[in-house]
Amino acid sequence: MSLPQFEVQQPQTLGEALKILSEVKGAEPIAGGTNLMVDMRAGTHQPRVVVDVAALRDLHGIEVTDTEVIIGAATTIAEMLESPILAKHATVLVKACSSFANALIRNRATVGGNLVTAAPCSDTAPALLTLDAEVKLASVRGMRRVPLEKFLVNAFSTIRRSDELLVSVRFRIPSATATGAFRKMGLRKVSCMAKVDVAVLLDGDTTGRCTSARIALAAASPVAVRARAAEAALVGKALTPEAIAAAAALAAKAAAPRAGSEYKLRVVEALVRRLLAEAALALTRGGSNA
Amino acid sequence: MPKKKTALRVNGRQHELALDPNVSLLQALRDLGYTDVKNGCEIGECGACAVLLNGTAVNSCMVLAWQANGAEIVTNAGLGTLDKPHPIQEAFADVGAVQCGYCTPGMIISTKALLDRNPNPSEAEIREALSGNLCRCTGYGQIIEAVQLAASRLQAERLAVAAMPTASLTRECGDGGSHSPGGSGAVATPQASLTGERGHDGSRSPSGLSTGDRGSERGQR
Ligand SMILES: Cc1cc2nc3c(=O)[nH]c(=O)nc-3n(C[C@H](O)[C@H](O)[C@H](O)COP(=O)(O)OP(=O)(O)OC[C@H]3O[C@@H](n4cnc5c(N)ncnc54)[C@H](O)[C@@H]3O)c2cc1C
Ligand code: FES
Ligand code: FES
Repeated sequence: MSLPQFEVQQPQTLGEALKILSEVKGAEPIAGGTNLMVDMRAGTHQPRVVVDVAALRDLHGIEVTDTEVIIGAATTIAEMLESPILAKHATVLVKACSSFANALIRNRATVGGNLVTAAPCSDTAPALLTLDAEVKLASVRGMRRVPLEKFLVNAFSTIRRSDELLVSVRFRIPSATATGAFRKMGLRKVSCMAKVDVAVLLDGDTTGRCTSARIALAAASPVAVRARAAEAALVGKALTPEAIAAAAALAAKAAAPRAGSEYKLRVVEALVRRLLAEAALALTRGGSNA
Repeated sequence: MPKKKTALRVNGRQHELALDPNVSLLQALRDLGYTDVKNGCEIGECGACAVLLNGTAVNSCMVLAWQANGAEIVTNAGLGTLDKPHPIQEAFADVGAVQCGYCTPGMIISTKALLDRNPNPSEAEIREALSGNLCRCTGYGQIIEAVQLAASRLQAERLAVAAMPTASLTRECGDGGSHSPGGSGAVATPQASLTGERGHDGSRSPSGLSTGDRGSERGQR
């Protein structure tokens, strides 16, 4: 399978990259290439100029400040899996990364490429949605920060303009007791796309009352979504089996699977119930971290 | 389209190339004669095209050749030769982890990447590390066994080196990936970490395994 013809640009700095994206018609970034190489071979993407952003320093690294965790867009899934910062502050994201594709793909695939692609079955999106993540976009016109929930518009569609680069994704450090859980249901144990992803991030007080709940789904609707009504139903309540079951039923209402895939509604309900129960149990034991 | 200058160091041998921008690393390597790198699917699904790119196992079909400019690449053939196979290659042969053999070079690359980082992996860790490599023949059982055998042999080798402080590290540490079938003059570089790991390795190496065992099993093959 040969690739179509294209030219290449290898900018050395973020500024150079943004200039190319603003001035060169038909320019498209490449990071890990795990989507773009497949799409170009299939003929569904035909960039005139491929702009390598994988080596840009501004797009790398996982940092933690007093309040936030910041992940460079060109960070690979494997790097996220090994990050002590994420292990400490965002286990829900680490769990998502551990179910992502397979060991070889994870060494190339980047979080930026995953979010910009905005596939319905993105594994990082639901985890990052529960962390209330924000993406930073840059162009020659300047920078803007957008909540991930707004960034993702529809299947394979985001608010990114063609001259913008995704620079980083960031989220506030969750409370020390907040507990995350993630489950991917696919056709195989590894190396498969999600049929349903569920991510939850739950926080509670010592009396077992829920103080914060975030629930996100992927592959169950055109693009990853938060199940806001389910979240609202939990906050302030005791995390009883009844409250969890009611929230799970509401979460299924947030899903919008394609015709013929209605079974996913039941999968969402079951997985949300299980993950909430797991997280609630962990909370009673003092909670882990997100 | 203007050609793209690309320097690749493959199995210790330097190549200066001028390539069309749309040539994948897989295609470039095969065109150079490194046909141990297999083209199984070109969509990132099978892992038959896996190589070490600066020490990390990747699917070469997912990489554009110029993206690897200046990189050090190791293919399965770069790990050992027929006369002097790498312990991982030997273990695959000894256990019978090879049927048609198509997946084998990629399996061995993923195994090498695993054992470099985790010399004593559990079965679950082995399965995870090989999750990007499909095999249509073996059912994976013997492959897992081969990785386990390779791990214990490599640990035994390290133990043997540790017991002989003056011995040359070259053979034992040759799994650094720099055996060069083409005789390019690459030197086997002992892994820097090895010296520091000696005592540690020695303390948890399985007993009763020595490099001598390997010799005799090899003879039975
Ligand atoms: C075998 C296989 C299995 C897979 N399994 C999974 C899976 O389990 N879960 C999952 O979620 N995905 C999976 N994928 C899809 C893919 O690996 C991911 O979406 C990956 O994260 C894409 O990242 P990349 O760096 O490789 O993107 P690329 O292919 O380099 O780019 C993808 C798109 O994003 C754009 N882009 C990349 N970086 C930026 C940036 N910084 N700013 C602006 N635009 C950018 C590119 O222009 C391109 O349009 C799989 C793919 C394969 C081939
Ligand atoms: S040929 Fe590269 S993964 Fe199959
Ligand atoms: S031995 Fe035939 S594919 Fe693995």
